[in-house]
Amino acid sequence: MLKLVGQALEELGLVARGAAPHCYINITTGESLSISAFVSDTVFFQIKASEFMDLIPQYGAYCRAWDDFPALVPRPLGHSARNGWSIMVTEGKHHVMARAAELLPAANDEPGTLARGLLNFFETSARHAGNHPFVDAADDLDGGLTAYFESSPVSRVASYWIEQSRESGLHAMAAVPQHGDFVFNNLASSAGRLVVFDWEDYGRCCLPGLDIFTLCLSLLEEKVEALRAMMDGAEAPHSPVEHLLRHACEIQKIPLPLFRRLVPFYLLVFLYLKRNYGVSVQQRMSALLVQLTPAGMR
Amino acid sequence: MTPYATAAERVRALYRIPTAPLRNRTLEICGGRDPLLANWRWPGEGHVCCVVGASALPDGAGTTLIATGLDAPVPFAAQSFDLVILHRTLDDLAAAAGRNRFDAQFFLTQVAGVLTPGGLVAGCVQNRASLPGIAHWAAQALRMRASGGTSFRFSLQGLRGMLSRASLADIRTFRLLPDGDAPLKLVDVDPTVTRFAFRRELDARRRHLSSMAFSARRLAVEVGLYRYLEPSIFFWAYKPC
Repeated sequence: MLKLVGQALEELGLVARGAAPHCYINITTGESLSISAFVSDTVFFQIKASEFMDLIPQYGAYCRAWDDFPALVPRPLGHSARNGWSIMVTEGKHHVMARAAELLPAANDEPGTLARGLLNFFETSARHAGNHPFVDAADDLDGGLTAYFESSPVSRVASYWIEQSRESGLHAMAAVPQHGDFVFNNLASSAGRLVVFDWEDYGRCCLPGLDIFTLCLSLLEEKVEALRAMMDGAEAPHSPVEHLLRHACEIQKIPLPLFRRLVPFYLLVFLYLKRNYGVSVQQRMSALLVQLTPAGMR
Repeated sequence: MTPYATAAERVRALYRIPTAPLRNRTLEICGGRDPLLANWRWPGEGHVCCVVGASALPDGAGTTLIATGLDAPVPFAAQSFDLVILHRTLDDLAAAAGRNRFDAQFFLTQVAGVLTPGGLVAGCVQNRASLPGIAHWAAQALRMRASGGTSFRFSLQGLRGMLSRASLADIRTFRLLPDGDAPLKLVDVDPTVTRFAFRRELDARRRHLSSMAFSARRLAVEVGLYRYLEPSIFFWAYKPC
């Protein structure tokens, strides 16, 4: 497979003929391999390769994300199909993982570069509300959720929260393409600026507020008590995650009470989007969802 | 179930990395564990699993299974295969025979002999220089005085030397994380790549480490220690045309 990757890099004009990049390869638990291919001490390409799925839709999402957020997205460089393998290539970014303190300034502090980058992301994203090619093309979320959870162990809980979301008026809000996996581990600092990874699912879901939720969920380390406090508005307004939540909802014009009420619905959607991930993620999210649901509705 | 969800699937995926799209005759030599390719649709024209020292053969739909002895583990004609897989084979054969009786160099030379020109050998061994490996080696060294035995594990340089002396070329070596039986990550031993990879590994664990533990590990990464300390080595090499 690495030969095919080498040929793809050659075809895209990214390496000289016969080059053999040194690689760091992740055998993910999904359907593809993730490869950092170094052509020199400083230059590398980030490659995704799969013999089980066509990566063209993911590459399309990446290109669209690059158009929408050029400062945040590693540049997409090309796609190649060879001998049954689908290979997509993006620019490699040297980075360090973001630290929570860099993303979450205290209420009275001036936000640093990474925190400003994060707020810019929410602002730019909000400008696409109801006005983006992905809005019309997005999957039917309600239909997808209903069909997927119908025969799952959390079907009763899922039905309850789908119904709650319908009653809440959330669906009347303008649709906004979401990153889809906007978690803390996908945010990093590259040359002092915020960079966001894993855009493959960009625009698959256009539910306003989902990215805010997934970021808060990861920052709160998926702790059920912290999520309950977020739902109840019990956190002090100046606590870092609560401060971010308020600011981001304000930027995206999402009523805070609505967001709080629908935290379990967002979790349900995240669980749905993660349906092809590992079993442990599914189990963790399902357990959280059940715990956040009123006892009589479980 | 996703294709790489289980450890066994990820081990098979490991061998697709150097081999795909090679679709020809494959030989897997097993030294005591179940064959990887038996009961699995490995792309190619014909697979042979050679189980060394087995009293009974496992099931192997779609695969030719052959039992061989430790004294003649590669009973095939020259240039019979395009790919030979040695997943933990050197470790297992050395353990079964005892280091003094297992000549890894002779074995690899035999393996090179059954490869067609341009063919590939790929495998995984335990690293002698890993922390568990050093402890194991020390224990063996103490016992060696009495019994004459030595460690079964392989060093990076030693492995490269043996492959090279078997007339194999374009040798690539990698670290496997967390280990060869349930691999998740493959890191080229090139210093740039190992530093990059282990910085990432460490970054991902940062929240769970004290600042002192983080700093100590970071220092080990920056001086390049990690490239020597991981427990498993993955390798491949080609028979020149």
